[in-house]
Amino acid sequence: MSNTIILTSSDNVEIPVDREVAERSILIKNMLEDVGDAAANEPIPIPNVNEAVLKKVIEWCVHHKGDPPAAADDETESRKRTTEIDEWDQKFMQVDQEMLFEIILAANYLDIKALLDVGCKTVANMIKGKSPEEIRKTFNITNDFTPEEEEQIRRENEWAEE
Amino acid sequence: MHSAMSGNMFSSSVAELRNDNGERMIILPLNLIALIVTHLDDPADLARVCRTCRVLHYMTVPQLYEKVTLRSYAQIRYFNGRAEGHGGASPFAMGLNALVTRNVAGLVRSFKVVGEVSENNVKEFAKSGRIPDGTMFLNMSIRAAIDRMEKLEAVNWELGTKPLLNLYQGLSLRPKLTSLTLKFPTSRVPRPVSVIPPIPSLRSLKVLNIDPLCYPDDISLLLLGSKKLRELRLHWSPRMRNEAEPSVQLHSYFGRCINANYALPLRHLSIANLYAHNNGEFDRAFDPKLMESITAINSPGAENGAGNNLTAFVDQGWGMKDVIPALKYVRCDQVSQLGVDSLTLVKGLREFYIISSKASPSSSAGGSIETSPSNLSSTIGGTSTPDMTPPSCLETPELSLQTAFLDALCQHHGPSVRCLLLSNRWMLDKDELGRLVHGCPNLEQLGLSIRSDVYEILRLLLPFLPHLYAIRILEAPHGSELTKYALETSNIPFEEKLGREMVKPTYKNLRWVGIGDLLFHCGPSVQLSETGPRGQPVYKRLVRRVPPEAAKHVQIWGLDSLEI
Repeated sequence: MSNTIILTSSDNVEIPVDREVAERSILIKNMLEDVGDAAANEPIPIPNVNEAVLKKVIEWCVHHKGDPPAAADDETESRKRTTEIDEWDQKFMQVDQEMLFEIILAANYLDIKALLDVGCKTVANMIKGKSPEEIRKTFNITNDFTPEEEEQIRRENEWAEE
Repeated sequence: MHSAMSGNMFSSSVAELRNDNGERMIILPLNLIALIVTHLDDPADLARVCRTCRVLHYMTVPQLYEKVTLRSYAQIRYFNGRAEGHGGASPFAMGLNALVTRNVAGLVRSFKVVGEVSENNVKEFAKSGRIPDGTMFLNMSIRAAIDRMEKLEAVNWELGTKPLLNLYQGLSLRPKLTSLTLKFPTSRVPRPVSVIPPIPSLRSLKVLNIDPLCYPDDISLLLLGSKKLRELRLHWSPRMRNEAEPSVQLHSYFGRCINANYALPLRHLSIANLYAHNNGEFDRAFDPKLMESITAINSPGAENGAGNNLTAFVDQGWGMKDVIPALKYVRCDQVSQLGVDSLTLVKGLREFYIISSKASPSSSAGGSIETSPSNLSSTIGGTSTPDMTPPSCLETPELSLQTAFLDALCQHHGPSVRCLLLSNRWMLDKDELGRLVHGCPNLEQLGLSIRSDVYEILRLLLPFLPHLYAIRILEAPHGSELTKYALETSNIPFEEKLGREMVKPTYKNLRWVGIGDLLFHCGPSVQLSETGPRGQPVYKRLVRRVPPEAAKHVQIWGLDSLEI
């Protein structure tokens, strides 16, 4: 069984990667199981992810290679403090917003749950404590409410903002 | 621009477009937006996201309205010189209006109303035997909102005015309501006492602040008729106990059950501030066979207890008459000889918590140290003091109680015990510790007060407790030495010292260490850049000091409170 496999990014760059690392992606893991070892020497196309993003995702998978599967008590702990992020992951996620969203999309497509969670938590942390206008600015959202609608929604939900 | 954006946000494919400045931007598919929103837990953040645009409003409203808390204030509050709700009604009223008139009530699973309500001319109305109209209108509006909450599971009423019968009737019609919390007001103005109708789906009932002089509503029919009820928490006002006023009649709560010969099949029972004559009804009201957990705070059962001799005559009528065969969990603020005796009658206890935290924890912040310097060294610097005679203050019934308790626990429960929080008044010595770890080898959480050095204790305990996940060394009452010790013990930070110690394999399951008021979270091992004397790699655990709230979900911290 080969220990290194080759992934081909959407812009046709071949990236060699440890099989164990690549198998953090459930998509790739299932694919390798389906095609069998013989075909695993062929490059695997990842048509939705470009080279820069794929390399970033692989960097994350390498760092988290030895991670134990989340234990039951870790699960409750992380649910209690939902947006706490590991220090290394925080640094890893200090990228521009375009890259952040690309990583989230890639993690979703490749089915890497832990990375998807870190990405979503990072975005959630960017939202916390911001006013609606600041959130719009941060994520390039166009306000499509009329001023009257926005005022009505603000009043109805003011109970939540104490 | 906007139409293209929402179009793409609704599609589940990956899309790229350019914004007005020509920058490339990426829109996430809806399922990922939903995932991001689930990581927001503060309702204020959710409410602000709702106001950004239609798509996010649509995606976020379900989470915002899953758990609704409406707060009422008797006075108008001002922010930056402007009245809250300026130009409209209060947030409480506006939120209630949204629940009644908009399409959001169906999303609510948990609904809480809390705070003071201004009632005009209450006494005048009471004289003429009427409820103020405003109070009736309030109950009608909340009833109307509740009637629309198809998914309602939990209701929490902590308003300064009681619910009226029409509201209780609404609750009894909710098909999925499993949890009800009622906090009665402290007003002595006469009010009708409602007989609360049964709620068929109810599993958990919590009643707070019961005072017989404040017209609490009648829960006896609710207890008799809610056949799925398994958890009951009753909290009386501390007033009766403080004033030694025996006005609480057990019959007014359990009378209907007893007359009907119905023993409540409860799994969990909590009581706080109970002060009543025991005429045997308490024991007849419950079926002991199913009972798994008992919490008793400031209630009968502690003969040497709170030091209020006034309550002794009433309290001494209490005692556990029946054996509770399936008892798994006990939480109390005092242990009595009676309690220890009953421990020897059952087997298989998993959790025992003795609450040390008191209502006013500020006393420890004053820095009054009652221990003499020599005593201090024997408490924490302990390695150099082989002779550890207990201070004379401990040669009391408390000490024999401590010994009796530990013996009963080790001999009759031992291997089944998982979580144990001992009293901070019990200073354990090495022999007692040794017996404890041998007797209870499966401990996962342990809180105790010790007469020795912290590291020495860790080294002594851990090899025998392979499952230990959290350990908490308690500060003696009014003490602050441990905290100071951990902060000032040496020039290397305590975290660093702990991290290097904890790298040993015996500590591998240990995640939380509490020393006095300080809390440390123990993360994974990391390799250091330095090497050992023979060039071998050196590791340490990543230990961080965290605020005390961080361990609220760990029982030996979270359950150390007088809340029921």
